Amino acid sequence: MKSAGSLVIVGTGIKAVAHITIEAAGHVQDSDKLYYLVADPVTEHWLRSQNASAEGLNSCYADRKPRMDSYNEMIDRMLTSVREGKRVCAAFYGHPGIFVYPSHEAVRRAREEGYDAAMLPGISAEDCLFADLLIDPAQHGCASFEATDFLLFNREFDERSGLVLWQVGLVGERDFRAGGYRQKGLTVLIERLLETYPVSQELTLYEAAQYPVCDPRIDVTTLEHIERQKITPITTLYIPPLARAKADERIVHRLNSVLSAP
Amino acid sequence: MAQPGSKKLADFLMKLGNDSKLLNDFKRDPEGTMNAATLSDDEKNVVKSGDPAKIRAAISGDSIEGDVVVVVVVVIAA
Repeated sequence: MKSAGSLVIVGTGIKAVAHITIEAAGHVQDSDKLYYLVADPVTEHWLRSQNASAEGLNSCYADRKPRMDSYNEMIDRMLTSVREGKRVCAAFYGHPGIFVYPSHEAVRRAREEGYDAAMLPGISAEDCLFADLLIDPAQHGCASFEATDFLLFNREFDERSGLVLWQVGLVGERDFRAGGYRQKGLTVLIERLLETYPVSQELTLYEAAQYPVCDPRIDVTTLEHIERQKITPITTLYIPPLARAKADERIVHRLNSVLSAP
Repeated sequence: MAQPGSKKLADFLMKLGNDSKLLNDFKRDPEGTMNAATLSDDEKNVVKSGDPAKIRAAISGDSIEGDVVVVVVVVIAA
């Protein structure tokens, strides 16, 4: 038999309040305890107006505190309420399952302890990028990596597809820094990209719009000039396909023969 | 600057987020829509700036410099 408490993780999207799904709003309003970790005060204002139990998880962060310690503290807070038998909702910025460690881990541990736990999709920064840059990933394919992960593990990718690199302003950073990040790791990222792309490679620095009265940041530059641009913790790098892919004739013949067979 | 912790500004932006008619009104006539929402001149200037850092600062009451977007990242076990 399932235990009384439960956990549902929802996303608030990127553009304040506008991106919250009807499904997510229902859980925000209906839960016994609401936790949140969001990037803007309008969303925070909305969450607090919807549920009197709302409590921010931002206080788990501290300057120079290892991120992992902060994440474990967030998970502990959520699970403590679940163990008290409460129906807990936790709202995270963007899509709650993309670039969010504590949400996945909280669901995993809650299920392990016998509680109902689920994650609902939200609108991610990548969803906004596809819409704002008018990119259809079905057309040429698109690879997406966290920038530090991309470097550390020497990720292989196809330059004939689009390449999305997240958190290019945080390359190599392990700790939360209240005063901003140093961006020293960007040089290493550029060196890696120059192994594949020419210095003149066009690319886009992208930041989704956070409010209905703001425009998204869409700055087109080149690899050569990227270090002159403003890079923030939410800047994403998009590199369009370098060349067109050609269909593999062997696969074309093989598919034709398989599909035409009775 | 707008008054620190501008609830009126937060309410206005919240409504723009889920009321497409109001958003269309704002796009057509920003000044009139902000006046109808009784925003102060400072609040209107923050909205006109289109700068998310200024908007966050005006609503939260934090300084722009100290205002850091919360970023949650994946854990990399190297």
